[in-house]
Amino acid sequence: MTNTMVQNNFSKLEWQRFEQIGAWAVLLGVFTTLFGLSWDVQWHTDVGPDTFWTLPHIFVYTGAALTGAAALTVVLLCTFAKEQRRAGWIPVFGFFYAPIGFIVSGFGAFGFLLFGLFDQYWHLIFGFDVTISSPPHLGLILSDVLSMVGCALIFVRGNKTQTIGISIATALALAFSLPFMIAIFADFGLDLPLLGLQALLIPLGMLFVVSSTRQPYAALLMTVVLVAFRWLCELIFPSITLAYADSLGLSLRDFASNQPELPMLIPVLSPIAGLVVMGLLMFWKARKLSVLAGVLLSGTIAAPLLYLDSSLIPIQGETALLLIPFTLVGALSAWLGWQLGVVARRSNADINSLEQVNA
Amino acid sequence: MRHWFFLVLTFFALETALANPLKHTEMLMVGSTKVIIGFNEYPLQAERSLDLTFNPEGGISNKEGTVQFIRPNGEQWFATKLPRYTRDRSVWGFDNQAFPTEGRWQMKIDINGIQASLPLEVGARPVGPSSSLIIMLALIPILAVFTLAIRAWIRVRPLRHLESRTW
Repeated sequence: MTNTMVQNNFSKLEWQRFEQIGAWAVLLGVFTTLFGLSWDVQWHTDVGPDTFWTLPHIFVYTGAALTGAAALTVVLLCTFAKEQRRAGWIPVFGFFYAPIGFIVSGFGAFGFLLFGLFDQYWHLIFGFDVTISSPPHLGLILSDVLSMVGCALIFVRGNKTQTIGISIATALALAFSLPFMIAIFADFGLDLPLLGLQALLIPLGMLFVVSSTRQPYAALLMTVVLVAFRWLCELIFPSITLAYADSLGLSLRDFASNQPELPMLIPVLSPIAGLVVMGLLMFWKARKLSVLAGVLLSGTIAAPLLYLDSSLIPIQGETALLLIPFTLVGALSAWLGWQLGVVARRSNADINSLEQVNA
Repeated sequence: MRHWFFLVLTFFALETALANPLKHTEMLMVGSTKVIIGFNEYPLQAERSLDLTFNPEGGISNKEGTVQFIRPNGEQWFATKLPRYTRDRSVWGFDNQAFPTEGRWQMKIDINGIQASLPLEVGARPVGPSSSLIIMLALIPILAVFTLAIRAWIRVRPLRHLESRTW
């Protein structure tokens, strides 16, 4: 009995370490793709012209390949380690068994690479269009969203959810979804949903990380990482764009801004909203006040704060009235984020327990 | 290591430099200025991207040009000051632009305040996969996210769960 326990405990440590490496490799892949996609948009806007073999594309596809390879490795090793099977792992096609986060991010990377191949075929027929909302580009973008959702789920492990990992993964998912969805909505002329996106997504992300980790500081951490990505892009994209263009004998287009167009749609004052939400939830928690009221109030206060920097629209005069529906959206999305945190946390509660122990 | 870096860069440079040569030119008189308009894809097809160049007699220095594209239904598509062409800075031009619809377009060019117009016949979209089919396929990953969330929600029932109401 003791021997079995020792063996199991030892193996469990080994498995946790191995899953941990897989988790950070997936996250690195997701970051690399996000970095490449954000740079790629600036490259097309400010320099162009497009071909497949550009450095931003290399980042994009290397990242997807890394995410896919890391996820696949973990899924295969988990599948074949039958004696180590955990209660929280899920079956796929009746054969594969693995933690859900790796399966989802693996499918996302697989979809991304398939749509990438299809995009090349599309370019053969229609030329190198640089529209963000072309059908294969939509497939690429939405597959990447799937990878990022999977990546965030990897770090949710019931009571042992990793605050740093899930905060970074959620921040990267927002750093991707928010600007790219704004760009797509703008292409389709959907102005109002476009303006409400930050009120929808950021409170949802903040309360999701707090709920799944039970740590109010995760709200601040998530928003700091979100804005850090914007700062990173603002800091290095202009110089690497110029250097790369120069190395190809190209120069900036006339009227180019040489600014990271999409990352600059991330509200630069998000950490203020994160700080306020953290403070409010800590106070609420310490006083053991109503969870529902605390969550709704967080979203209600956070949403208007996200529009303070006017990165999307100047909130003044008549447009200030938009803050009323946006505040409502913020409160509801905060509630949704909190509940989704509970769902993710409970779904992955048994991720570390051996299957036979729970059976 | 340094050699590899330059080899890779050279490869990218070569690939980028493979600019499609002009397949067709049109001549337009804007006042007394002859402008050669170049197309690297011809005949024009809806949704098929191409490079368009504008080479006014005497070069582009000391000239200011704007271009306006009018859709077949008479609405303006876009109008802009003419930028220098990325692959050849001595002329004006656009790269990777696609006319979204087929029909008879109008291109209005203004150089130093003098206007002229050129009709452009844009043919049918190239034979290829339908956009709506690919958009439906493209929605599969996001539908997977929603399905995953809804299924997990139904299984966990968070509103009935204590964790939903406790810190």
